[in-house]
Amino acid sequence: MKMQEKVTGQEVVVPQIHKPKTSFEFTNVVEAIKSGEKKNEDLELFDKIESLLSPEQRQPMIDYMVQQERCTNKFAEHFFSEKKFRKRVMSLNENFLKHGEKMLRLEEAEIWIDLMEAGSDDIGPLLDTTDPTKQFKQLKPLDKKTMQQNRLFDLKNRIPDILGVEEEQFVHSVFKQNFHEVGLPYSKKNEDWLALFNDPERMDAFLSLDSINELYEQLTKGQQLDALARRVQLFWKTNETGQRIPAMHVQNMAENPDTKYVSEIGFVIEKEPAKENDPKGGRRLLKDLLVIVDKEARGSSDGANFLLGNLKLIKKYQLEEAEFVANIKIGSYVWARISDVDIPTMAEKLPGKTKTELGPKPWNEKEIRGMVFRDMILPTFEKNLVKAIHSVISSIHNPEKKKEMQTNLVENLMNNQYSKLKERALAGDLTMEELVDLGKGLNVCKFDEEGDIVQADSPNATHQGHLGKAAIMGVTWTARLKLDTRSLFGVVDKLTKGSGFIPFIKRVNQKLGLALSL
Amino acid sequence: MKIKDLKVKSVPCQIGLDPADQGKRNDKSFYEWIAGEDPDKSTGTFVMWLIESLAEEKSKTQINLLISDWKNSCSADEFKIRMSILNKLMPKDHPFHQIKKIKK
Repeated sequence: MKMQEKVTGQEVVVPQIHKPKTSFEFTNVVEAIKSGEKKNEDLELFDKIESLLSPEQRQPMIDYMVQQERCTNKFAEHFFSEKKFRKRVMSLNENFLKHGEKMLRLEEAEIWIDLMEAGSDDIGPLLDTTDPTKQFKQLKPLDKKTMQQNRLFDLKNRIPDILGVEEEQFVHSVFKQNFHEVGLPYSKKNEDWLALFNDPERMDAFLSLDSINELYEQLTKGQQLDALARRVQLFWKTNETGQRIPAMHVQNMAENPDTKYVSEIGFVIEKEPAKENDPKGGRRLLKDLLVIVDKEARGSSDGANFLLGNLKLIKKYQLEEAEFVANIKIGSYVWARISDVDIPTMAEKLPGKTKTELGPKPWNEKEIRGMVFRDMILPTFEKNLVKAIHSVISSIHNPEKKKEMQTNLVENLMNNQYSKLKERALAGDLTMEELVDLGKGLNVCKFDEEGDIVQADSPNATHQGHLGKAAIMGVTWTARLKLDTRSLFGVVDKLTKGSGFIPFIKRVNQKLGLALSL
Repeated sequence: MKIKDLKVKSVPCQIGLDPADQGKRNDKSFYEWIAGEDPDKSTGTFVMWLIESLAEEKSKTQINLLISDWKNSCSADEFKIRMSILNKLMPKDHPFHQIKKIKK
């Protein structure tokens, strides 16, 4: 407004000077933080006068953080008591927002801070490294709607693997009820789900239903449905022993526009609770790995680069260990060579009556190792042994050769050598590698492209291996790897057993070899 | 039964499953892709990557432990060559150069 001076004695119009705010709305402060709005008036005022507030003035804001933003009291109090901490929370929010992953609640900042070291506060490398479109040029990113649908579809398809029969029936009844609520029929078929996905209004309504939210949280062990469109989700996870731990789920997807196949890279990072007498605190663990790369998108010789590209996440986010649940045919043998069984993790999953047998904790290491082998590994291993041996012997028609093979496989390997291994296993004295080495050198078992055991004379037999390799396939077991450089050198030593790694370095680069005078 | 009481098992890692093959449980070709056309060369590439990682290792303790691992796990000749590689490839100020004198 312009200054106007009236000639007569009338009132002078004074320009409107901008008066600073004298009060702020805390809800606006929080929203400003999540939206990365540094210039927000409420936020600026809050920041200026926060240290002058009395405990009575602070309490409603702490309550707001606890109730609406789902923070813990401890986090909320820290937020108010230390400016540097507050700055870290704000930077984190800015970082997430900058990368298109706006936090839904300050709870997420709390979980991240609990999970990660301050030096890792940047999700940029995480998103870049796991982005399939960056690694495979013909793939295209998925839009939010398609990603949400794929996620739900993945979850639905996973249900038979993660639930017992009764539980599965119950979940379907929940789905049926909720489909009905949004006015759609439900008969467990894919078509029903597609009908839901193709109706945005009904889909929105479905995703807002309480029981669907509760079910999603339960089936994913803590993830929140309102973050379904996010590639990075932070959540509190209830672990095997009933403790609440910080976790992050990363899931990046991309589509081949020609074939519509969706490639995915995903995993969970969680921080285990600290073990007794461990001053270092809980381990930062990588697990639940999901890597699907469309066959058409893979170049013929960039697999190693793909792997190494992702391994750099280890240093960036200080990942200390990785857990792999192997139930993969060929892969299981490779894992058995690299890593032993993760006994403590598997022990938590022992059947109830075995736990009763073991008695109260703390459990004896050797004893639980024996139980894990007895109840969780050997039963399937033995079934496969029989199948593998039969597949070989029944395909030999020459009676003399048949007898010879029978002696070798049944009398020697099965009845003699395996018996000895089993004794050691039950005594808690056997490693996975020793088990899968059974019959090594005698590659009589044949597999098809899928890694399934086939008759030795089958036309589908494309690969071969020894008895132990055949028997371990399909056994569900948990392996654990340490990810520090020293441990990874140990992995290489295991893979190159006997040869050392010099011959392999020479293969990489002749010039390098010469330069190192190898 | 209540939703909160559902017991949920862990999903095994899904590595390399070809999206085209619904219902199949492995993808051997994925492992073969990781290994590459020349698996030995891929292993060598991994070793070189690890050596680069080692160049960033600042902890004397860790390097000490690594060298002890090597001493116990490989032949005397191989060990000698590994020391020689580190000698040539580790940066001038790397803790290795202080340790190597003791480790002979």
